[in-house]
Amino acid sequence: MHLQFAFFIYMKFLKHIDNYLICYILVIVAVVQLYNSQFDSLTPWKGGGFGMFSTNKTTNITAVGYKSNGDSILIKVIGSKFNVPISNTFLTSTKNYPKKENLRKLGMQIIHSYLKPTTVEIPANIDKNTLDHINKNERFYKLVYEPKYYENDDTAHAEDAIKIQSLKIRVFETDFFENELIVKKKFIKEIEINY
Amino acid sequence: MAYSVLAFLEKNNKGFESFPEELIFKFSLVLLVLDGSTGWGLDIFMRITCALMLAFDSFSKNRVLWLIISLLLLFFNSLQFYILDNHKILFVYWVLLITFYLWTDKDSNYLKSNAKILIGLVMFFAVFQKLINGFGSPGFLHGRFLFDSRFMLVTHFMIDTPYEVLANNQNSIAILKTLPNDNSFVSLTSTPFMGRVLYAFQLFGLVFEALVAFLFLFSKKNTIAKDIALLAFCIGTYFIFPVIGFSSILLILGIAQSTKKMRKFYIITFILIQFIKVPWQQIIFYLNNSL
Repeated sequence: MHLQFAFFIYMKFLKHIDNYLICYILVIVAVVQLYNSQFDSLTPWKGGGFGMFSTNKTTNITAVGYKSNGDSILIKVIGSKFNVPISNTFLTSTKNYPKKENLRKLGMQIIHSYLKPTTVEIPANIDKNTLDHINKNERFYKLVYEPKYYENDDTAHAEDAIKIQSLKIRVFETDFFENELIVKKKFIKEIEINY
Repeated sequence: MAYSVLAFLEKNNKGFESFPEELIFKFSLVLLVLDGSTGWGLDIFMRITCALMLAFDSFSKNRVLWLIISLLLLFFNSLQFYILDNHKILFVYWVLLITFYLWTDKDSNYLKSNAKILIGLVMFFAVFQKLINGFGSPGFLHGRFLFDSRFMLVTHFMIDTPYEVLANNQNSIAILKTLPNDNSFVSLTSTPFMGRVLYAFQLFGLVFEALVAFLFLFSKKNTIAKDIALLAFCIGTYFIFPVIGFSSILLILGIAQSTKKMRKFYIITFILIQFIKVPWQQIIFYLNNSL
């Protein structure tokens, strides 16, 4: 009798799974996404957990390059379909879920690229501590380098583009704080990549 | 070769059993043509295949074609899983559901009951994520309206801040994101009034979304309260947050689970929702500045 009842329940359960399989898949994907967004670095906005428009927190990836003579440079990590050797899809995916292997891959792409200098204008509404730090290290913050494709070494050198020996990628989380009306960044992790 | 492929496909055609079923399939194909995929490769295939399935009625319910569409969507979307918007993932679930329906002996109630629960689950997870990510506290909408370009013109009208200031906020944040310094921040300009109004909207949206989730998960199949709530949610939300793909898939799921009485309202809303494509903010902005 007990066995028959257990079999009945089991069959009913299987029938239920069969009828609502896709709904169960949605729940499993969403639960995995919830775990990864709460205990790892996946953004709540992506990954099938339906957390779009739930938070202003975003991950941002910064990079500092080191030339062969030891000088450090500020790098702007950008992606593009055409003139930048980092694809937008890959960069967006890495920003949404900055896993170590993807950060490493991103770092290798930057190290293998030419980096073109552009001037950077520090905004007036940045905090005083950062501004003081920037003023003290004016040489470092004067130029920001962007990865770019070049047909050959000569055209790269004509635009003062350079290559680096090693790289430090630092990952931050940016969020909006209403009380102080500020957008602030918080350090998450960093990795070093050598040529 | 072409004839044998066509003959094979024709063998797998199925006729529509009812008008509601035809409506569900055709609306789903329309959405696949308009917004089905991410990436040009699949997009071209989807546009051609689904447009032809719409044009040649007998193929609209072809189970081989729906299976191919499902497999391709699964494959290509899994390649770019972490950049996909959630509505694209919801759309894959829906296409898989249609494919399962065609390849098994399930009746049309299968689509109806699953569509209802899918809407409920999506709304439930959306509310749950908001709650655990601090959406109940002030700040989310206020922040979005200060630096998200989709809403900055509304902010400009609400608090009379010059648009250049708001655009500068965006530039400042972009530069902040380049700097490798911990605890750096940029200050934004706003008013307490703006914060209060947006927090009220934020809470109202959260409660309403929870209501839709509750009604779709726990109400009876034929109750119209859930339909009214979803229709109001789509109109109220997506004219402010213009994500046409999400509103369209929710409305198609709504059509699939609704009664005959409510179906026409879903179709009317589907038509209305297309107007979120109109750049209202820009039009008002240019009119304001040119007069």
